[in-house]
Amino acid sequence: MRVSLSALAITSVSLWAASAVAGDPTGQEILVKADTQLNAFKDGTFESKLVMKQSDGSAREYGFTTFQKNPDKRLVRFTSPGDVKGMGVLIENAETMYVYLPGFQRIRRMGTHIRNQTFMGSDFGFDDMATLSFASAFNAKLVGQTAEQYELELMPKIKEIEYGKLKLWVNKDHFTMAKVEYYDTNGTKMKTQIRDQYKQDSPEHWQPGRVAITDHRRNDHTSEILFLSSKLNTNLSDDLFSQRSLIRGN
Amino acid sequence: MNLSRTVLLSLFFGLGWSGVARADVDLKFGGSISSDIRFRLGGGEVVPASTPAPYPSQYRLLKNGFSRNENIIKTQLTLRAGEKVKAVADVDFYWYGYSDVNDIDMATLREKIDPYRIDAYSAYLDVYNLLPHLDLRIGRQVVVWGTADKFNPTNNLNSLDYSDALLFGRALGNQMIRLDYNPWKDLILTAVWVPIFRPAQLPRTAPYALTQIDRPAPVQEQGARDTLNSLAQIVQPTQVNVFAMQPDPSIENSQVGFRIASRLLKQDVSLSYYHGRFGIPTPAFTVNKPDRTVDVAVMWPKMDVIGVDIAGSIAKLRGLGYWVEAAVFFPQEVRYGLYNDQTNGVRTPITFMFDNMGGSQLKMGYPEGTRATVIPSTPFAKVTAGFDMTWNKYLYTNFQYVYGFIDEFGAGVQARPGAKMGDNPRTEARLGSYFVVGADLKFFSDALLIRFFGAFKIPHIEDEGKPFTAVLFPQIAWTVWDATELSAGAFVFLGDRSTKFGDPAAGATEVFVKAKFTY
Repeated sequence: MRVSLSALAITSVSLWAASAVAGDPTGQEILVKADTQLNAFKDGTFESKLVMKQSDGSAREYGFTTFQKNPDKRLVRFTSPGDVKGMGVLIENAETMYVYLPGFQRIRRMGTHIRNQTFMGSDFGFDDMATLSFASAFNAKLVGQTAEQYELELMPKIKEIEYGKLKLWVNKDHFTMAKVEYYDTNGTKMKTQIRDQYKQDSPEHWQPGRVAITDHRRNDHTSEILFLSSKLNTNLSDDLFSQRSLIRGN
Repeated sequence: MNLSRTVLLSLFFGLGWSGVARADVDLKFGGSISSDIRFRLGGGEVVPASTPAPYPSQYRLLKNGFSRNENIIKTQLTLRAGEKVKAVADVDFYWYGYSDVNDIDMATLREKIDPYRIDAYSAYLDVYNLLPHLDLRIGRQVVVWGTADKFNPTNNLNSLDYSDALLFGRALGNQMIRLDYNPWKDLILTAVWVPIFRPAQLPRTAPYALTQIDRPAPVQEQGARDTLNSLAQIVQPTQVNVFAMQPDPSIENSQVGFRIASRLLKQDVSLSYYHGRFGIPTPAFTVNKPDRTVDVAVMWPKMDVIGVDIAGSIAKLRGLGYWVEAAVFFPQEVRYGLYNDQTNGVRTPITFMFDNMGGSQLKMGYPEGTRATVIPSTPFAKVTAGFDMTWNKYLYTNFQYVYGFIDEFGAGVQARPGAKMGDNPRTEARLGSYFVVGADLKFFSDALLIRFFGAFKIPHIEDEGKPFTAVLFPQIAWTVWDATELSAGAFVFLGDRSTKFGDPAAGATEVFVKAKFTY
């Protein structure tokens, strides 16, 4: 489920107007603000590296470039290592996804069941990678705060969410997300996501330099995505997010 | 401007680069190095063709022996000149890993001591937005149509490579001109022209289908088949030679395809048309020689194919992916030309007088009667329908129903050899039905893959005997490090000699170990 940026902005403005009267913002207001910051660009190009840490201390790495056009469109092209180089994934919306397999020179429509996969075998689930709006999927309650961060508790409001609840820490300075803890319906912590090393890449947007996720069900196995560069608001064409573009490859 | 790469390319290619050097040329190089060792178990022996030497070369398939010992270097070079032009070369170098030496002269030839081959899978040039929304791809390429997995009845522009059972028919590159026009959203119109037909690559075991003398005659009419089988038993040919009648490189023999694809109610749909030929040859003529040898000629039948496919995802079934792909084939009729050559040089046609009761009488000489039918002109359909599901991060499953396997062509029936040498042949529908199932189990961050794949033939009511036949393909693959994979497994043919997969012409059970590094 997705909400448009304009809808988020309108909601955000109206909720902030209310909070100015009431004092501390509510959990939902903070969540909307965090969502707005997360998506504060029309389009973006991100060079990234997925690092999967192994038990022997070594790490496997995947390089990829993500083109994103809010609210829904994404094109991911893998650049390394060799066995995935040239592979592409096109997400037109939540229901329509394609994979380009260069070895077969063909595009394959994927059922949305691939959300059940992890991202390249890492600790990132599909929803960890694709969630662009928390406020549309969760009800938030402010449960604590420090001088730097708000602590929210998020309860799912749509049945498609696999988690029982989330805990979210939001930095107060720019409403960037700092940490997410994922719990199952029994209250057991499943995963922890850390977002840090933020850099401002547009007047409205702060981009984390690192997103790390630890799966507590796998002996705290950790994967992280390092964002090497980002370019925002370059007017990416809709044609880029098409099957025709996907088959052109890197 | 990427100056260093441009300079390097200029040095590499020597000349003719000045026109491109003005653009921002981006060079990408990739590929893989792999090793593939296989051992076959209980197969039919295949000796090298036309090799009368008393000492056999290693170019043969033993009943139990190594069937593959290949090393492969795959290289892919991609050049981009700005956003407008891309050139791709995808070439595989194969070293067979055995010697093909029959005499002392051959022992002096490096290509016999260490045989190799080069496969150019792709070598094409892309021009994007040649006209607004129009892309051109010209050169050696593979055009894949259809939404099903591997079994694509609408996918006929490239003939398939059947030489490796593990690939289930990989498409062979061919020279083509392809235009893609994307005027609006998801609407894509594609036109392809293939000037010269390229036949399918057959497996080493394929000659079995024609050269074993107890093989039933490949004709539809029961009476004609019985008569020809009786004659073969009487004459007992000493040798069967198979010749091919390739299509001329004429404009009439070029292939064309058109496709329109779009999205309807969130589902991907397409409609296609193909005019060309089926990649696997079919027997068309037989000449019985006075010395009791037999010459058989094969040809590649023409066909027109209208295809349709649909694919999508069903949200209410946990995002189940599904696809349905169907094609109606309008084949060229192939009649069986049969002749007897006499010692005086006179060639006599052998035809039949068919009656309405299904009986037939042999007619020798002129005027000719009716030739028996190999491929009737009756249109026929091939269908693949399937679904897949990722259950969790460990398990992926795939199920397909296939009507008409990748190598099956034509309506009617086909006669198969007896279960054992000397047994009576049996008939079954030429187009079979199959369940194809697959499952991937992944562990350790996808580093360990356990894969099972199987194709099981479903007998039709009209099939005689209905013996069981299937292929099983279990394998285990371990990504020991980035882009480095070790794998082992087996490709198991089940069934007796009279069945599709038990027929020695289809191949034999193999076990394999592979290693691959991709760069």
